[in-house]
Amino acid sequence: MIKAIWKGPFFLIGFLFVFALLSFSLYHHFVMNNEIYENQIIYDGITPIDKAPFEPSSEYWFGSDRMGADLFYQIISGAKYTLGIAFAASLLRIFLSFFGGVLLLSAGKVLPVIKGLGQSFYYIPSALLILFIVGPIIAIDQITFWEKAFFQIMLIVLIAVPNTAILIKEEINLIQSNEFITSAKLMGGSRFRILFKHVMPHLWPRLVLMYVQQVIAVLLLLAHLGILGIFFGGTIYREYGIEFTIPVSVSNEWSGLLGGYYYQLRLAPWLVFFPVLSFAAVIMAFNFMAEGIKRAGDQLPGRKKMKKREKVKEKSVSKDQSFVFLTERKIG
Amino acid sequence: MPYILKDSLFSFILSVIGIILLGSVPFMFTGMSFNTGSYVDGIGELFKSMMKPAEIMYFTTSGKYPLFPSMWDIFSYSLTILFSAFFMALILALIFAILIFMLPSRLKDKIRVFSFMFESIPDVLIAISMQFFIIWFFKETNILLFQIVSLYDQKTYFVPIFCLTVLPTLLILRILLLNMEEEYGKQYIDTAKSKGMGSFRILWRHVLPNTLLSVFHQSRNILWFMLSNLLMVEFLFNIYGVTTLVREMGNPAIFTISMLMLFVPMFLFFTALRIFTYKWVGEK
Repeated sequence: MIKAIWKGPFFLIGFLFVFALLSFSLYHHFVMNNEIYENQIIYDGITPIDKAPFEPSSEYWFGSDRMGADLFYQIISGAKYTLGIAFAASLLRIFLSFFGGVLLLSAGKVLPVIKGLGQSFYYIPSALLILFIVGPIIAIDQITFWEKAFFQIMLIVLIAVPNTAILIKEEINLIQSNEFITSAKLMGGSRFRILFKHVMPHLWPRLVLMYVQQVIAVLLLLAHLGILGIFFGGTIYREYGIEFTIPVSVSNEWSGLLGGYYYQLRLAPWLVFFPVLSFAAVIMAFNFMAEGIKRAGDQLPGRKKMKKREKVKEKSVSKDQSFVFLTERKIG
Repeated sequence: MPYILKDSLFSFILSVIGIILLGSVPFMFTGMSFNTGSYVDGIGELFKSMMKPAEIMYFTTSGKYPLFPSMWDIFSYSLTILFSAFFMALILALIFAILIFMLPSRLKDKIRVFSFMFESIPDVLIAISMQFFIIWFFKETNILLFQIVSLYDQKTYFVPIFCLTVLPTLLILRILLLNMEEEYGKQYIDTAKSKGMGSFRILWRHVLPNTLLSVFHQSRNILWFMLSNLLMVEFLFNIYGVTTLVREMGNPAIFTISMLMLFVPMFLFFTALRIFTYKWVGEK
């Protein structure tokens, strides 16, 4: 499975993009000391020619905000947090859903009830649900930033667990309908031994695919929450001019950038456009990875061998017959 | 048929319970700590206030109003946008799928291989690009193509529906393309060809209906995805729809009522689709 993934171009392209982004972000953090170039006025000699926010140019690739901070480096600096949140939240999602799925295996008669209750998630947009629950809590001032962030991430995780657990349970059931599970049961294997020795080897490629899909879902959710103004990176107010203070994201985390810059959409559209575009690029990269995994999964070594054997059999039968099999006609 | 009705009723009741349970989650937290007791109380309280819908109020900048009957107006606006976008997406996807299948097969294969990229575009990107485009066009030519931002009593339809249509179209197109390919490998197509049927007739009469079935199976996911889009579109275009109402009020009773009102037509739609496919192919 793992070797097959690396052979396809799709997974590699997606992986390299994400890897490059992350390493550049970490390089920026550790080697370049997380510095973001700020300059509010551009001089030509001594005469000022332009004032922040700057439009995207060869000097400021993605433009700059009103503080004159380079947006490109802000995005690079925030990448590690956004991707980190997405990785961690989806890992937790899969982990909890796996346990939920195993528990659901022995749910028996309660199962249709749980399934029915889980359906209700399909009629509520998840960003709205999170906003609805988090809204009153964010307004409380006594809670520290880390507690709020932790609470939000837990919600992002929990919101997907019921339906993913049901999905995993169905995958396990599908694998358990194979004949080798029946024979393992007949040999007296205990439930856990069957689960870990016989089901897991077939389940984990599916789990890897689900993980990548969950990362995409979390990234989309983060983009939505960012637009709706739920900050993940923490907010501070910085002085702008003499009388204004404007909210700024502390960590440059992407959904924070989006939320902070959304109100400057009319003034400096690139400030919103580029964070959204970087979300789109990363989601695209993960879609490439998911496609690569799907393709590798289609050619599992076990299945391939079986197919070959069948074909050989058919050929030997058809040799001394006067008609041609349909399947053979297609091959030929 | 009776099985479908019984099953639908069962899942209807459970989904309603699920939505009410989700709606009272804010009662669970006092500050940051879990409190199961107040959650149970909260469910009861929510139930009580939902029994008397006439007393629920909502606020706008201009004052305080009772939720009903103005709720119907807000609700029907959102629902119109949602469902017209869905049907437009379906029709557009069908047209595109047929057009793509008319293309030479080398091009067709390429489109199919890269169709997974259709899913990568975030809805936010489309809505924002649309706004940029309209503003840019206005600046260049001084013609305001469409009313971008809707005011409280002025309703815009075209732009939000357009923004909401783009992504589902791509999604449905992908489902159609993948399933059509599968369908073309089946043997009844060979039979039809050998009988001398024209290729367009095969596509129209045999392949399309069968692939539409898979779109129906996925319709719940597609509409769920569109609900998230609706949230974004309503926010970005400043439309006063159901999600805006819920977002601005944050009141459990309003949340639950709005979500239930969104749920009922969607659920009826799915049930109708289920009965329809049952009559058509006998699938439960």
